[in-house]
Amino acid sequence: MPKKSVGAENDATEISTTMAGLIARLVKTLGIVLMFNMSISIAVAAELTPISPEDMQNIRNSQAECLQCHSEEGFAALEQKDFELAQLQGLFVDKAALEASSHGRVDCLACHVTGYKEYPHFKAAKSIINNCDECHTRLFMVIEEQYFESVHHKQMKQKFDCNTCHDPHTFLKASRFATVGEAVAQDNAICVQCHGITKSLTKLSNGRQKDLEQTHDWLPNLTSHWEKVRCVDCHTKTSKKALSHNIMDGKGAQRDCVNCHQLDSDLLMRQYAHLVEQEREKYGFVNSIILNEAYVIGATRNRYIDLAFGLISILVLAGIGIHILIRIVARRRRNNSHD
Amino acid sequence: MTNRTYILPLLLRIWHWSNALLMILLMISGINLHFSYLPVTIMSFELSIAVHNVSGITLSVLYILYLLWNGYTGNWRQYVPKLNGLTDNINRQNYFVMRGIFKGDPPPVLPTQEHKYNVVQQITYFLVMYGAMPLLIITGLVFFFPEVAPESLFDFNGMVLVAISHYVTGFVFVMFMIGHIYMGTMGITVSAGIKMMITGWHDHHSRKIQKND
Ligand code: HEC
Ligand code: HEC
Ligand code: HEC
Ligand code: HEC
Ligand code: HEC
Ligand code: HEC
Ligand code: HEC
Repeated sequence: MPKKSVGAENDATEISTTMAGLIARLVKTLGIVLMFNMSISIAVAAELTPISPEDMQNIRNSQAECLQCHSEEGFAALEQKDFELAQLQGLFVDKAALEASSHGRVDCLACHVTGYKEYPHFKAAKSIINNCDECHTRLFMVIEEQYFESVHHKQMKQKFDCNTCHDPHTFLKASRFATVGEAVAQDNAICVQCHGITKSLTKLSNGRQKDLEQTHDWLPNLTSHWEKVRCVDCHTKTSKKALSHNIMDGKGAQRDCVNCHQLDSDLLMRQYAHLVEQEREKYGFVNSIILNEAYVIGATRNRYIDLAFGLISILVLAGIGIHILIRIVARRRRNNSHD
Repeated sequence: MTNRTYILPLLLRIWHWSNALLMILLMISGINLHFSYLPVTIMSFELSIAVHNVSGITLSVLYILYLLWNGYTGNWRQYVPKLNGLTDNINRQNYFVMRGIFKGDPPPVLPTQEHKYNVVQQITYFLVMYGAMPLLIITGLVFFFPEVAPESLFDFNGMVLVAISHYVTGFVFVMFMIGHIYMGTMGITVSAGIKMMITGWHDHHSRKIQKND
C-alpha cells in the first residue's frame, strides 16, 4: 500500500491536473461571458442629415392638413364632415409610421403633386402622383434594371411596380432601423403579404405557388431563419452598392449554408453591411456585431475559447502520449529484469 | 474466487456503445458546424445539422431511459462514493496512475457486480452523467426552441450564452471521452477493461489480487 503523502504531494494525476486546468478555464470563460456588458455599443442606425426645427414644423403642418381627414385620430377629431367614414376606407395613413418612415420628412404634396389640396379632390389626381424616380434618380435606374430582370417583372408584368413592395407612407430603409431584427421583420412582411407563410399565395399565382414552409423545408430552424434572415438575402445576389432587386427563383437562390454560417459570413454584406464599420472584436468574439441579434453557428465564435480548447486538447493528448511511453518503457524494463 | 465475473448485462453494454457511437457522431458533426470553414470537411454543413439533430435527440431519449432505469433499479448508488476514507481512496487511485502502473502493480480496485467503479470513476461519472449531460441536453434542446432562451443578455442575444454553454459542455465531453478511453486501458491488463465492455465478463487474470478493504 503506498504511503499517503506520496499520492497527495506531487502526484496529482494528469487527469486531475487537466481537470483542474479545465475547471479554471471554464470559470475564466464564464467570467468573460458574464462580462460582456454595456461596453459593447448597441448597433446604432445611421443618422439622417439634420433639418432645422422651422423646416420640420412646416412639413408637419403641411402633413397635418391632409392627416386631419386621412388619419384615424384626425378623422375622429374632425368637427364638420362632408363625407362618410366609408369613403375613407383604406385611405387612412398611419401618422406614427409615416413619421418614422424614410419619407417622414417629405411633404404629402411633394408626391401628391396636384389635385389634392382641396376637398373634394380632383378626379384624375391619382394618375399624377410622382413616381419614385421623379425624385430619386441614379441609384433607382440601377434598381429598375435589376427589377426588370426579376421573377416578378418577368412573370407578372403589369401588376407590379415599386409601390407594390414599398408603401411610400411606411417604408423605412433597412439600414435605418435601430435593430437588424426590425428591418428583417419589415422586409419579410413585404414578401409575405403575398407569399404568406400560410397558404394564402395560391390565389395570386393561380395555384402555382406552393406554401413557403414546403418550398423551404430543407432549411432547419425555419422560424429562426425567418426572424433573422431576409427573403432577399437568399433570393438576390450580393451587391456592394444597394440591395439587388433582381429577385431570383428557387434555382438562383442561395442554398449553401456555409455562405452565412462561416467566419467570412455573407450576412456582413447583407443586413449587417451598414454596421460593419463599427465592427470591433470584443472579448475575442468574431463578428461580434451579429451577436447583438443572434448567435449564428459557424459565424460567431470566440477565439479565446477556441484557442483554450485547442491548447487543452493538445495538453491532454500529449499527457496521454507521455504516459503511454512511460508504460511501455517500464514494462520493457520489468520484462528484462525478470529474464 | 473464480477468475471471471459477469458484470455488465447485454442491455447495459448496448447502451454504453450506442452512447459511444452517438457521441462520436455528435463530436464530428459538432466540430464541422463550429468550424464550418475548415479546408477539410468530413461532411457538409447541411448533413452535419441533420446528423447532429438526430444523434442529439437519440442521445436525449437514451438519457431519459437511463435516468428511469437508474431510479428503478437503484443503480444510481453505484455513483455515490464512500465518504469515509475518500481522500485515501482517491490518493490510492492517483498513486496507481502515476506510479503503480509503471511498476506493474494491479489496479487498487477491481470491478465487481456490487461495485463497478472505483472512486475516481464514481466522481467523474457522477459529474458527467448528472451535471454535464443534463446541461448538454438542455442547451441542445434550446436550439430547437430558441424562444425559451432569454430575449437578450446584456447587449447580446440570449442564444449566445446557450450556445457557448453548449459548446463548452460539448468540449468537456470530448475530453471526457479521450480520458475515458485511455483509462479503459489501465485495467488489470491493457485490454481487460475493453474486453469487459464488449463481453460483459471481467477477467481477473491469474495474478494475485490486492483486496479492497
Ligand atoms: C376634408 C377631408 C380631406 C382632406 C383635408 C384631404 N382629403 Fe384626401 N380624401 C378625402 C376623402 C373623403 C377621400 C375619399 C375619396 C373621395 O371621396 O374623393 C380622399 C381621397 C384621397 C386619395 C385617394 C384618391 C383615389 O383616387 O383613390 C388621396 C391620394 C388623397 N385623398 C390624398 C390627399 C392629400 C395628399 C391630402 C392633403 C394635401 C388630402 N387628401 C386631404 C378627404 C380629404
Ligand atoms: C414619397 C411619395 C409620397 C408621399 C410623401 C406621400 N404619398 Fe400618398 N401615395 C403615394 C403613392 C405612390 C401612392 C399610390 C399607391 C398605390 O397606388 O399603391 C399614394 C397613395 C395615397 C393614398 C391612397 C391610398 C393608398 O394607399 O393607395 C392616400 C390616401 C395617400 N397617399 C395619402 C397621403 C398623405 C396624407 C400623405 C402625407 C401625410 C402622403 N400620402 C404622402 C406617394 C406618396
Ligand atoms: C417627392 C419626391 C420623392 C418621391 C416621389 C419618392 N421619394 Fe424617396 N425620398 C425622398 C426624399 C426627399 C428622401 C430623403 C428623406 C430624408 O432625408 O428625410 C427620400 C428617401 C428615400 C429612401 C431612404 C434613403 C435613405 O438613405 O434613407 C428610400 C429607400 C426611398 N426614398 C425610396 C423611395 C421609393 C421606393 C419611392 C417610390 C415608391 C420614393 N422613394 C419616392 C423623396 C421622394
Ligand atoms: C404583390 C404580391 C407579391 C409580393 C409583394 C412579392 N411576390 Fe413574389 N411572387 C408573387 C407571385 C404572384 C408570384 C408567382 C408568379 C407566377 O408564378 O407566375 C411570385 C413569384 C416569386 C418567386 C418565384 C417563384 C417561382 O415559382 O418561380 C420568388 C422567388 C418570389 N416571388 C420571391 C419574392 C420575394 C423575395 C419577395 C419580397 C421581396 C416577393 N416575392 C414579393 C407575388 C408577390
Ligand atoms: C418585390 C418587392 C420589391 C420591389 C418590386 C421593389 N423593391 Fe425596393 N426593396 C425591396 C426590399 C425587400 C428591400 C430591402 C429593404 C432595404 O434594404 O431597405 C428594398 C430596398 C430598396 C431600396 C434601398 C436599397 C438599400 O440598399 O438599402 C431602394 C432605394 C429601393 N428598394 C427602391 C426600389 C425601386 C425604385 C423599385 C422599383 C423599380 C423597387 N425598389 C421595387 C423590395 C422591392
Ligand atoms: C436561406 C435562404 C432562403 C431564404 C431566407 C428564403 N429563401 Fe426562398 N428559396 C431558397 C431556395 C434555395 C429555394 C429553392 C428551393 C428548392 O429548389 O427546393 C427557395 C424557394 C423559394 C420559392 C419557390 C421558388 C420556386 O422556384 O419554386 C419561393 C416563392 C420563395 N423561395 C420565396 C421566399 C420568401 C417569400 C422568403 C422570405 C419569407 C424566402 N423565400 C426566404 C432560399 C431561401
Ligand atoms: C442567408 C444566411 C443564412 C443561410 C444561407 C443559412 N442560415 Fe442558418 N442561420 C442564419 C442566421 C442569421 C441564424 C440565426 C438565427 C437566430 O439566432 O435566430 C441562423 C440559424 C441557424 C440555426 C439555429 C442555430 C443558430 O445558429 O442560432 C441552424 C441549425 C441553421 N441556421 C442551419 C442552417 C442550415 C442547415 C442552412 C443550409 C441549409 C442554413 N442555416 C443556411 C443565417 C443563414
